[in-house]
Amino acid sequence: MPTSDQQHESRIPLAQLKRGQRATIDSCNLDGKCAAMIEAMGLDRDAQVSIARIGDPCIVLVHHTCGGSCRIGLRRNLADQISVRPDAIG
Amino acid sequence: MATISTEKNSQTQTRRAVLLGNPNVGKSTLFGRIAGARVHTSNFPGTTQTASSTRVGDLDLIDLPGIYQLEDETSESAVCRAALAGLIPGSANTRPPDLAIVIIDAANLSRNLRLAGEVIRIGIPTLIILNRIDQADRRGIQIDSQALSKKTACTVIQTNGLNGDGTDAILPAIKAAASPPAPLHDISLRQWADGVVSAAVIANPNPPKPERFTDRLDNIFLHPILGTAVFITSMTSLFWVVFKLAAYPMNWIDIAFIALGDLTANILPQGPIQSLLVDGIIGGVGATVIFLPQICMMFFLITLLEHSGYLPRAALLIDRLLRPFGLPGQAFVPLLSSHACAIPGIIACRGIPDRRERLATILVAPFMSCTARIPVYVLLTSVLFADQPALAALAFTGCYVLGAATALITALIFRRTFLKGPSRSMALELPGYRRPSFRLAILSTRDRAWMFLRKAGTVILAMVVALWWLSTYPKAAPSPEAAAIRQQAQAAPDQQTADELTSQADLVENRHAAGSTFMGMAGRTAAPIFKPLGYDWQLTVGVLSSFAAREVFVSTMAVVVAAGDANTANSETGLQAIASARRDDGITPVFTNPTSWSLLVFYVLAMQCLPTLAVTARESGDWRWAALQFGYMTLLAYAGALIAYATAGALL
Amino acid sequence: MTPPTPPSQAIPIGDWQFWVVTAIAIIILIAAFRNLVPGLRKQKITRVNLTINRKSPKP
Repeated sequence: MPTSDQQHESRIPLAQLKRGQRATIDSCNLDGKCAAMIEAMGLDRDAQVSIARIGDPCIVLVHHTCGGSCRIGLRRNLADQISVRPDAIG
Repeated sequence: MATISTEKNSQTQTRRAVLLGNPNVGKSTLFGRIAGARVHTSNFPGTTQTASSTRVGDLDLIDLPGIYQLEDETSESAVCRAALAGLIPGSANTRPPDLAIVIIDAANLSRNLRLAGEVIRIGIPTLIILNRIDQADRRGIQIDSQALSKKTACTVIQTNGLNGDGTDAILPAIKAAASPPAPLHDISLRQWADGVVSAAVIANPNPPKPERFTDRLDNIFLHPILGTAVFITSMTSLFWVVFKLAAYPMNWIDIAFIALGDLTANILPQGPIQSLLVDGIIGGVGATVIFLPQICMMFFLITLLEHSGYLPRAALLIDRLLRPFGLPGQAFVPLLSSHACAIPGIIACRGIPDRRERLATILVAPFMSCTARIPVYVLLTSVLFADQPALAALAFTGCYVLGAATALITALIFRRTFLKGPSRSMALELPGYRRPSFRLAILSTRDRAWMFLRKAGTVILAMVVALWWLSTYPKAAPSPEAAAIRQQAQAAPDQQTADELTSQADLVENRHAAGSTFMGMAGRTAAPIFKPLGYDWQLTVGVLSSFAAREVFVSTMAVVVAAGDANTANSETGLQAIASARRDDGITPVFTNPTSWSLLVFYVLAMQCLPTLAVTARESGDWRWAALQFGYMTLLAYAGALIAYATAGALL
Repeated sequence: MTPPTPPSQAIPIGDWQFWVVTAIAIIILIAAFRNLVPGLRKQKITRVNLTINRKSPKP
């Protein structure tokens, strides 16, 4: 359960995550078609992700509850519009 | 119990099964395994998707496009929805399919299950194939098939598509699958999928292993400098290998067709029928078949690159280069494929999500220099740089560059004018790297080559035959000028002069005859249009003929100006004969330098392929796009040739 | 100026071979264009069908 501390934790754009950092997807500021496309690929709310490559393009690993993962490459301007909650370190 | 087995109509009930799954899940591989070589590819009319189908016993198995969700905006999803409702191309039967087979990536269960859930909801009997079991094992994911089967109320088969493990169980399972699964409760698909996962997947005690190898390669391939270097190297190698290797089978095909032509000429008596067969039909078929090695080789290599996992990375990298022109990274593979033949290239545009971007790519794809233009490039560059092979090669490459540059700039103009719209930023799933399967690449190449033969080959043959007829009739009376020269030859002092005069007479006779045919008359009538570009009536005949099919330019010129025959036109002697041909005044060469430059630019830019226009019309959904394509490409070709002629004339 | 070729010689309607090749040419042309054109016509019909028959229930 996220504590009130964690809820106030900054939501940052996906593009600002560091390499290897894990986070949870919060929301995205994209138009309908774009949003539907990335959600269908696995980047929907509460998805667990980590960064495999920073920069432009960046590579996001989506970690499924089953233990598997898939790799999605995104251009920077998309990554800027997706906000995530970084996991606490440790 | 299901309805299938109890139907006993007089009509044979062909059972139908459809194959669904996420992209990159190994669907095509599995389909290929089940189908073997007996695959028939057809199109969903009204959309831009293909469906491959095959027949296994009494079952029609149809492979649908890969989708992430049934309910989304993409045209692939629309096709899958239609298929599940019974609308399948090439079939008047509009019954919903008897079975839906959903292929799931065992290493990606949660996301894949959402699609399975959507399919189960529809109520058709569903079979689940759990593919990539080896990948799941590698990551320590253990799946309880029994539990999965129970939770989804479907039969579940585990397979490894690459090496074939488990695939034997597929056909029996298809035969046995009958009872419709229980429809889902009205909970969200995501919750349902998560529920299934928690029931069926045994928690992995180890954290997921970092995929270092994949990460390292990704970092190289996507690096702005290093990645671009890899890209340029791989593309250059691709083209180099294609041209070098394909030259051998092309040579054999050439020899074979010449032999066939000679044989036919020897068997049949002289006359129109012999001419139709030798020059028209054999020539026409030969002209198309000779491109098969290059086309096959290019598609084979592109498919290998695609399956290896590199192409998605290249597309993501190239996105940065293409964006300023209004095109997405997904346009890269279609534009690359268009260098072999624009027809499969335009069809490959189906992978471009945004409608305007797709349309822009379709419209400019034919600017990429396809294999049919190569004989023309070879003729003209060898005329321009007869003893300078390095410069000829440079000019040859320049043609490709001109084509690509024009494509990009035209796309930019379109995207700024009537195809204006926001760019949809690129997001692409990157599949894992793996060793590509030669077998699959061969099957895929065979499909596309067959498509080229069927679509382009038939039309080109028809055009060549029509051109043959128009170039044969009406027949002319013997030329008095030629007769006069022959008289001179008879009175010649020595054999050599006599021979020279006789060949001269032959050429004059030939030109006279060529000028009197329908094609000749068309050439003479249209010559004023092409005069500013530096073409005489003979070249006009060649250019007009090429609008039917580019490949015929060289053979047409051989027949018209050099009294040669179509089959040997592309040989060294044939090309020399064409290069040294003269215009009506008997002095000026047909192929002067400025004229050759003008022709080169014209052929880079002109739209001279009827099958391509047909495919554009079909893929874009409106014949008017094809008309537009023809219009602007022709205008651009004329303008470009005009500039080239004027510039070359001034400089040289 | 030479007298123009008499029409029967220019287009040899008396020659049976002429008719054979002309017939073959016409047949090949028609066959090829049937190949091209149907792809354009069928699509309009099915497009309508797709929108009407959307059956998937919304989640």
